[in-house]
Amino acid sequence: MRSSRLQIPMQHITPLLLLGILITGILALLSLSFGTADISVAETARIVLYGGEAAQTSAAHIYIIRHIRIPRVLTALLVGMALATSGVVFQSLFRNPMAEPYILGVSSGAACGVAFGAYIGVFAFLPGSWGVPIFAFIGAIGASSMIYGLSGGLKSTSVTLLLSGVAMNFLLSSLMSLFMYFNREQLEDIVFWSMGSFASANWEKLAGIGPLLIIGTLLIPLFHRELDLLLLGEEAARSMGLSIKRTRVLLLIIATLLTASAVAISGIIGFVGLVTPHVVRMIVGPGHRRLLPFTILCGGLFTLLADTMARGLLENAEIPVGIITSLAGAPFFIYLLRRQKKEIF
Amino acid sequence: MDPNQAITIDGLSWSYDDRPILTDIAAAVEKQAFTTILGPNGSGKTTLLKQILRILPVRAGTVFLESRDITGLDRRDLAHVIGMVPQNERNPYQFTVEDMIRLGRYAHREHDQKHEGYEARSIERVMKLTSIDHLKDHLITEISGGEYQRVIIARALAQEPRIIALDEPTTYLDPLHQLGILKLLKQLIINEGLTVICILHDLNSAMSFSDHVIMLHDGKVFGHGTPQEMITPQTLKAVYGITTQMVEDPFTRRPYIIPDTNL
Repeated sequence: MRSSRLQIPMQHITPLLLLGILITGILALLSLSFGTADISVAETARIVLYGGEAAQTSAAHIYIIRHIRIPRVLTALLVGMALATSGVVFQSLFRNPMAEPYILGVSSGAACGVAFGAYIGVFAFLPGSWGVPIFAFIGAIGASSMIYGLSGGLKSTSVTLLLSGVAMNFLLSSLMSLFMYFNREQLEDIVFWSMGSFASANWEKLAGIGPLLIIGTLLIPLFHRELDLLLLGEEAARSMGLSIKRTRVLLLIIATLLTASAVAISGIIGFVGLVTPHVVRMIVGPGHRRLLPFTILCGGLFTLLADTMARGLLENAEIPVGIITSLAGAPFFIYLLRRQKKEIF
Repeated sequence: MDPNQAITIDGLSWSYDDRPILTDIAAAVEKQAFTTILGPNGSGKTTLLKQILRILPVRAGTVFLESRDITGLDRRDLAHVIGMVPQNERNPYQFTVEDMIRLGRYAHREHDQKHEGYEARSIERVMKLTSIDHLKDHLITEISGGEYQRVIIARALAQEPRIIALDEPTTYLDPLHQLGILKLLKQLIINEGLTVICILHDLNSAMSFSDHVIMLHDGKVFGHGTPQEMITPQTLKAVYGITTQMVEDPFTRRPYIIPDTNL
């Protein structure tokens, strides 16, 4: 039988996932040892495994690993997982493989919410670890409900959905420019939100937003059946017993929350939710029971690698990671666009 | 309410943007029988089926499934009673046949989680019933139209419904596969005690396979009865505007409809 995708038997899924986790662990360790301060892999491993005192190494190195690099690597992993997961959810909700938080304008909505919060000066009253995600969520939910309304929900064609996303991104980027114009002293902060970077990751931010990223990401696989049914369309899903309105609203909220949390901690990082699920789907198929665990894993890997490149490509400077993911993702998007006529998922 | 009726419809009306699609429909579907909905394009057949499944909400009138008003049933209970084979469903997703059929178990997910192995047995059973067990690991994007239709029927059967509603299940199939699907439905009625309600376009299929025909015309029930009563040159002239003659079908001894094809 000719088969245009690999078919992995169910009993191989768990070993493969464990292998994936192991690879992620090794790559995370390599990424930790990577940076301006020259710390060997072995030394990094000692610091991670045995903690400070027993590691018998310099205090500066211990500090760099523990307080700069570990929170950064963890943030990169969690954000990648969250963005890839929300990509999967948007793709199923809109029945469109091109749907993705960045392309739909949901990420920009979150960034815009934060820029607005900064402009009205609300973060002086709300603690940053709460205020930023709240405003990111307000902006993101505004964008995702507008895109849902604009594109006509599930009945949208690819073209109307993507054009709605384009319109949304136009609107939001002009709003962002407006906030920047009014708020020139915070220009750099706002630019940071729109480019995406893990450079400012620290334990404090991670403690505030990390739980949201983890809970949201782990909630989604519980809906694997619902996400499958949504792919079949409203009528078939209803006839099989799905309460479609309730399910859609709930999933839209969780996916938006995931995007907003990711933007709140690292700014806009595009295309993770597009590239990762697509590649994983080619290997394990469209069924969400298998798709989600692998997508979560690969989403984390994707941003981890992108961030390592962001730190290492230039000698004395760092490239915002959002630029790297876009450089990888945009050509992929074009490739999907050209292919779409033939095959949808 | 008659306990022999699987579906009882009374006073059902539906309009779309003030355009009436169904007007005051009253009809009944007998248990463990093959009921066909006939009618020209735009006569409201699909809308009627969607109302029975509550894919469209019941606004005026009532629909009872096995003596229970469907407006009081939640989606899951509804899916336990009636399954659907939609019109011309063809999905581009690379699900395997088995995974596609498993989606039909959604309404029984809590039961299946408590009963180890039940889901797998249930999927295997409906694949055997629909003669597609050899396609288990094939991708639905790579099987024929006739095979695909069987997968969708198997998916509906996996819901373990007592009624199955089909919207033109044979329209895009070649004669061999058309016959295969209709025979399968007949077997399911006899062997599994299923009730079938089915929209068909082919008058001779309706004549050969139906126990009962509901004829729709302009959103109203033109009439209902046995196929011999409902499919006659007079009704076909009135409803479809076609001229026909009847001969005897040598296999079934039922009438066979021959339309006038002269220019």
